[in-house]
Amino acid sequence: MCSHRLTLPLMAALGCAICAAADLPTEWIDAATGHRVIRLSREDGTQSLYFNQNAYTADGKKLIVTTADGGIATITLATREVKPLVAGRVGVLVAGRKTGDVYYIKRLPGGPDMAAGGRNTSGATVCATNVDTGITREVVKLPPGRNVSSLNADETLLLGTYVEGGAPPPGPGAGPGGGRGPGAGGRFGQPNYEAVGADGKPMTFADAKDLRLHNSLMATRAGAPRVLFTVNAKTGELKDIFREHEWLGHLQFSPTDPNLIMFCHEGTWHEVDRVWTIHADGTGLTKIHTRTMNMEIAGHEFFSPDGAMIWYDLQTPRGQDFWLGGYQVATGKRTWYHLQRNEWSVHFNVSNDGTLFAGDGGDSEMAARAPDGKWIYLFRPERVPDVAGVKAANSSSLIDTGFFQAERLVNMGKHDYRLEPNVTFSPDMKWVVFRSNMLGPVHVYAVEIAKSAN
Amino acid sequence: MRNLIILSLAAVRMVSAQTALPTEWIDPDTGHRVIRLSKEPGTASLYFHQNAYSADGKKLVVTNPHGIATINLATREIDQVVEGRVSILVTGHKTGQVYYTKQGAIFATDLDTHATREVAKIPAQAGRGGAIAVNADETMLVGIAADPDGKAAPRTPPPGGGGGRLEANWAAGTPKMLYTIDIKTGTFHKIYTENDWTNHLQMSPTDPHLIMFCHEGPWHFNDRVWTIRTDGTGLRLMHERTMNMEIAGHEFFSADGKTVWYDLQTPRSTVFWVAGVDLATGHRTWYHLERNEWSVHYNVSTDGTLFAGDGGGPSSVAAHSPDGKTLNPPGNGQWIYLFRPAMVQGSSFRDKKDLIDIGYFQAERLVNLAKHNYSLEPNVTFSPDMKWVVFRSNMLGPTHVFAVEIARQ
Repeated sequence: MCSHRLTLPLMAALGCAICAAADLPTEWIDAATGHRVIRLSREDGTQSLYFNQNAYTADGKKLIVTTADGGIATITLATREVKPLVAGRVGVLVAGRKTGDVYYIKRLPGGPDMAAGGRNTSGATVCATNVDTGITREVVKLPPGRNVSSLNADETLLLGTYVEGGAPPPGPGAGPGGGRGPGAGGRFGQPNYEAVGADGKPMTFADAKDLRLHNSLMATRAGAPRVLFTVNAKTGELKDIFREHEWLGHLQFSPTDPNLIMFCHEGTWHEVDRVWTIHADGTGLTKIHTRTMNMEIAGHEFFSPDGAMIWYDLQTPRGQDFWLGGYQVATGKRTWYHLQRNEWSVHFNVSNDGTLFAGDGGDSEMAARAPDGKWIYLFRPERVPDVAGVKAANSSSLIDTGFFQAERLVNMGKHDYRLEPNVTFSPDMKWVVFRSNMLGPVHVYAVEIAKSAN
Repeated sequence: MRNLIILSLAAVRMVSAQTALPTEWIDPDTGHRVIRLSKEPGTASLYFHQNAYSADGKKLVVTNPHGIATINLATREIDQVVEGRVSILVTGHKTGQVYYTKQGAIFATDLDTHATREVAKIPAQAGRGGAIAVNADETMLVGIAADPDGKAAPRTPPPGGGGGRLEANWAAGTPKMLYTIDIKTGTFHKIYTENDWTNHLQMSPTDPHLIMFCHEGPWHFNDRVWTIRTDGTGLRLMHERTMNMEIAGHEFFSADGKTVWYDLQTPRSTVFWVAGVDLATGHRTWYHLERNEWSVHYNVSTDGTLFAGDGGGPSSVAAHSPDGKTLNPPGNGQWIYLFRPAMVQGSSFRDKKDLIDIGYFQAERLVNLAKHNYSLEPNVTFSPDMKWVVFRSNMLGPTHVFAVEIARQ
């Protein structure tokens, strides 16, 4: 009876949501760019994953998304068929590179809400579900206090952080999804940052976020050490590999090298050396970028699909000059691509073959303060040639520079950037996939890289 | 006879054209007052790093078709100080006398009395001479010349090179020397030799023993900016590139001699800075500029608080994309600029004292140079009272010397 009474309003609400979604366009040619945009999701509140989480099945045909009720669904890119995969509120991790199974964290009964980035206080389970058969297997149980947020290339290790000796100070959490900022959750996937400035006026969202990050960073450095740990996916063995008084986040394994980890020092970017790699056994700690100037920032780092390059947003200094910085993992050789202010993007990504880049733009309050930056971009890299073929004597040790030829794919004028669009390339490199609230509710979209003939 | 008449007619026409040129106006695009300081066509102010002001700061030294003149900045009175074909060097920081070379010797002339003395003969070892500078206390001359004892070490020009004079000179590998002459004793010292293209010679305005010079040639394959002591010790590279096609050049000292400033591009035609290195501490400060604010030469005011730039022409680095294509709409800005430096907000220093301090320039346009042909470089300098920016221009046709008031009308 009780459940019945609950179900009716829920059904009504669902019906309404479907109605609302039905009114929204499913396909159009962007008038400003000439590119075809497809709304892949039908249910309001459907989201694609964070930009560095692998969201494509091993065969490249299906996209993994999260649903409004905290579950996981797949969307077949060719047919746009949406198929629920995991019900209930779970924290999605990644599509495994080897099996293509979707990995996620499920709370134990009575535990925290993992879909909202909850802290695992009473134990949780990492599960994997086969996208074709829907068969679910339990991968490993996590003891209380431990979350993981990345899976390695051969699906043998999971990676997480914890605070030594107890709970972290309020603010930075290490939720599933790998350091999407403190306590990811809420309407836009991040807290509703608010603060009042010295002039008594409310700060912008971006400035309030900066202040909050600074305070969290100071608290973290003054507090208990943070620990990076792995979990053996077969045996459940926990292994601490690294500890320091820094706010560890943005955990990701190399897509090809099962033993290579990338992580960051979270916080205000100008106050940290952000991007680091380390081997899964705790050796080989490497700082990927060292600043040379005040207010130089680097971040939102990611691996190229072949694992050979690390790319990151680089600003020299913040809000002034914009680059996508690249670091060749094997040799340390650097390649930087220059961007115009309006082309700066909160997240960048690279195609499977490494020839194309994409960005999700940014609004006028974000780091670039771009007057006209609300676009989904395609970037074609161009190297700066050595004039007349002349090279400086030490050319090989110098940073190779180039610039991006930008093409606008989608007008994001109506998008609220408190939700980050998080571009990814479809494995066939024909589409750029992103999430957006530009039509009101959050949906998942794909824009065709080829210009529409229409 | 007939020829003479035609010549006279031409002269008359020139004079009338000359009188038709405006002597003072408010630039309608900037609101700043511009004054034409020179009367005779072909009058030019000096290269940007040559000291061109009298010791009391009241007179500007210029060159004209007859030789060297001064222009009184307050009264605009013009006084021909040196007659004849000479090569001007600089005004002395101590005496304010103007130094120049003429017929194998270096002379100095008093700007008020016109009293002239021979300072030194160009040494036989220096051949026909070359670049010569005067040190801060006017006790020493420093010169660059071909090294008579050296051997050429030609450098192979790169395949598919663009050719031209810059590349040919670079490739020649001519042996060069830096030398000093003690003005009192006339003693000659060869202090340094190299097979690079030594150039852009200048002395610190305050340290009598500090020389700055460059390795000339295409900037992107030179480590360009160097200092050395007058005894040949302390050779020091001012800027080391970290990226391909990063260029640095058109270096100059601050008026107090403490900082070396230079045009920096990271990389060329992409990101623009005026970069400074504190000579005592090595600490670096870079000011960022927008592309259309890039200037072929920059300068700094006596007190170090203001900078100026002379803009860029349609064939300059600012007019081109990183891959060498001409930008449309044009990327260069044809303006005389005033720059007020500001530092970026925030600090990443923590315990890292060696980070570069970063700022940017707030630019104000002083003069519209749309009609200026940049084959003549305007070469801005600040008047010693910091009320005027002085430059040369052909914007009215013939070359003249102008001053623009920093205060707005």
